[in-house]
Amino acid sequence: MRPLVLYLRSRQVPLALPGSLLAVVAVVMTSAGALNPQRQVITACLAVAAGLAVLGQGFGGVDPELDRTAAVRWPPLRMVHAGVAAVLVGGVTVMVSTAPAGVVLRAALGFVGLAALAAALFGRQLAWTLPVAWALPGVVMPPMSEPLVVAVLTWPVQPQDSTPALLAAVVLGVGGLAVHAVRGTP
Amino acid sequence: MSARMLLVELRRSTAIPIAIIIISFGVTNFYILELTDQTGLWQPQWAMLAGLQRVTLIVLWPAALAAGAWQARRDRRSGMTELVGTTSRPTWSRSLPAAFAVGICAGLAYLVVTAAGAVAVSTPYQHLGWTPIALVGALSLVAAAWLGLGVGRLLPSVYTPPVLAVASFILLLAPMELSKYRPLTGVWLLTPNMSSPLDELTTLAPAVTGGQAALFAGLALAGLAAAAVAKRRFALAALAPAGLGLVAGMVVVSAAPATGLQLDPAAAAEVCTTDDGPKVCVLRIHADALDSLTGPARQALERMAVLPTAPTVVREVVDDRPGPQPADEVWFASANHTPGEGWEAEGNALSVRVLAGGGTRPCGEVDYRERGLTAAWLWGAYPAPGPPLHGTEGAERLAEWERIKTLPAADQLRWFEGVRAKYLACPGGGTP
Repeated sequence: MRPLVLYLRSRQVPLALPGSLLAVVAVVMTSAGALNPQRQVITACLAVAAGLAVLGQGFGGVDPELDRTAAVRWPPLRMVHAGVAAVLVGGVTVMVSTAPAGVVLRAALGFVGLAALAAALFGRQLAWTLPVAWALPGVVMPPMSEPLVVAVLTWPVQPQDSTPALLAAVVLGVGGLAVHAVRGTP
Repeated sequence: MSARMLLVELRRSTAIPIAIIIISFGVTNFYILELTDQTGLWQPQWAMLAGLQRVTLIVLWPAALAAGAWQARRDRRSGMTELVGTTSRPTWSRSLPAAFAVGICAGLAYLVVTAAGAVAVSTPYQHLGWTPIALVGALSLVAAAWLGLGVGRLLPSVYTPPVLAVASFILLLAPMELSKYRPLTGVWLLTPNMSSPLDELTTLAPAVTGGQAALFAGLALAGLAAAAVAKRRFALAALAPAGLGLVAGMVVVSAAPATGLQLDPAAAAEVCTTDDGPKVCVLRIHADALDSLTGPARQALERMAVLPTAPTVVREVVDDRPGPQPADEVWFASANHTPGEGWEAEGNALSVRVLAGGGTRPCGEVDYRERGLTAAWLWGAYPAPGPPLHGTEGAERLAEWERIKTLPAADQLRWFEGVRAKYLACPGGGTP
């Protein structure tokens, strides 16, 4: 138990987890009462991105050099950490939002990959950049299914049964988690 | 602040990354519009280019705010706050070079995107009236970056940039959502991302641009002040320029028309034929389509020569031009022109369009059946050239045509003059 508590503390989870869930609820609340279903999808995707942007600060330690010296198998631990973050944020968003669950979980998968990728590329403090940078333009564009490049760019707000959107989320999610698990944070 | 410090900051701050983000997003936006055949949103008019780019600020504003907030945390991030605090230099001497670097890059990057879109603009109407709209957009982005610097200085948390980005995006989403239900008015016109689309003939009222300039100048100064004051508790002073800018902006914008949009008089000016034939005039914005209209329009005038009061001029008019229309003129609605493509018909079909309603514009309660039948009557054949009608409307129109043709010639003329007189007298003139 003690190693787990110490690990969570080293990842700022005690502060970031409530903050992240607060961010999710606050973002979803901004569309409370809006009748437009697409608006619910937009805020749900934003909520997932915001939640993971906050939790993404914990995708690495304060001192990566020190982490590397520890006799710990980091890759599985990093993957479990990011996976649990995605499940938590996605699950809470599904509970508070009226957007389709499939869309929310797809967003959680894609955005956690982006956050993990950004953490691996630019460091944990910039883990928020890629999910936010994809979420803002991605949700504001109308979700056109043609041509393919637009469908992929707007994957968060595509309909639940869109194959290109699902593939985009899976590639981003699995790819980002894998890169982060192998490389860690700089 | 020396030029050398500025150069160092240009290389070592978030200036270059934010410029890259702005340019890549702006250019991608144009590219996607090109891919999805929406080039008509900006290519037919310079003001539309400036207006469309303002819409993208819904994403660029949060990006600039976040970049500023990230920049403001630099000293703390590298554990330098105490060391820097011991040097006998004022705070602003450290913060201003970085602020100017970020501001310059954000504003210039916005203008680079304008230039990228300008390459594709193709219009006979060359003017500079659109530049204030673009420049205020660039100013607003500078204001966003500096506001981010100020907020980042006051709330130096690692969570500030992402929260600021998402929160400002949701705030900017509000006017966009609202504009789907009613035109934006009053203080809503001051939002950086214009949610009222411009068309070829409308432009942003100068008072709106002026009000926005005042607001963004105030916000920029506020951000700069919050980033540069010696102690964080002095940052309250930043509220002064922000409040002043907001008040000035609201005062100036109240001089604008309610929707903030107005007809561009120069774009709607007339360009006419100069040869000896009957005069044909188009709007200046469609000057390059004058030649393709001249022939069909003159053919239409020939067909109308049988009338007791035969018109001698064809004028293209904006759709809501106030009446009454003089009987010796033919008014041709500018809706017959598709931006970037030309007239919606050519040759004889275009002549028939000119003849619709007896050479009048659609106005008031429009009955397209009688407008089509009067065109066919002048043309002398039904169906007249143009897209064929199918279904019950086609059959009913044909039956009506047969009935009219059985009338005595005087009654036919009386029916025709009745329809024409209705549209000639129509007052029109709703505000755009």
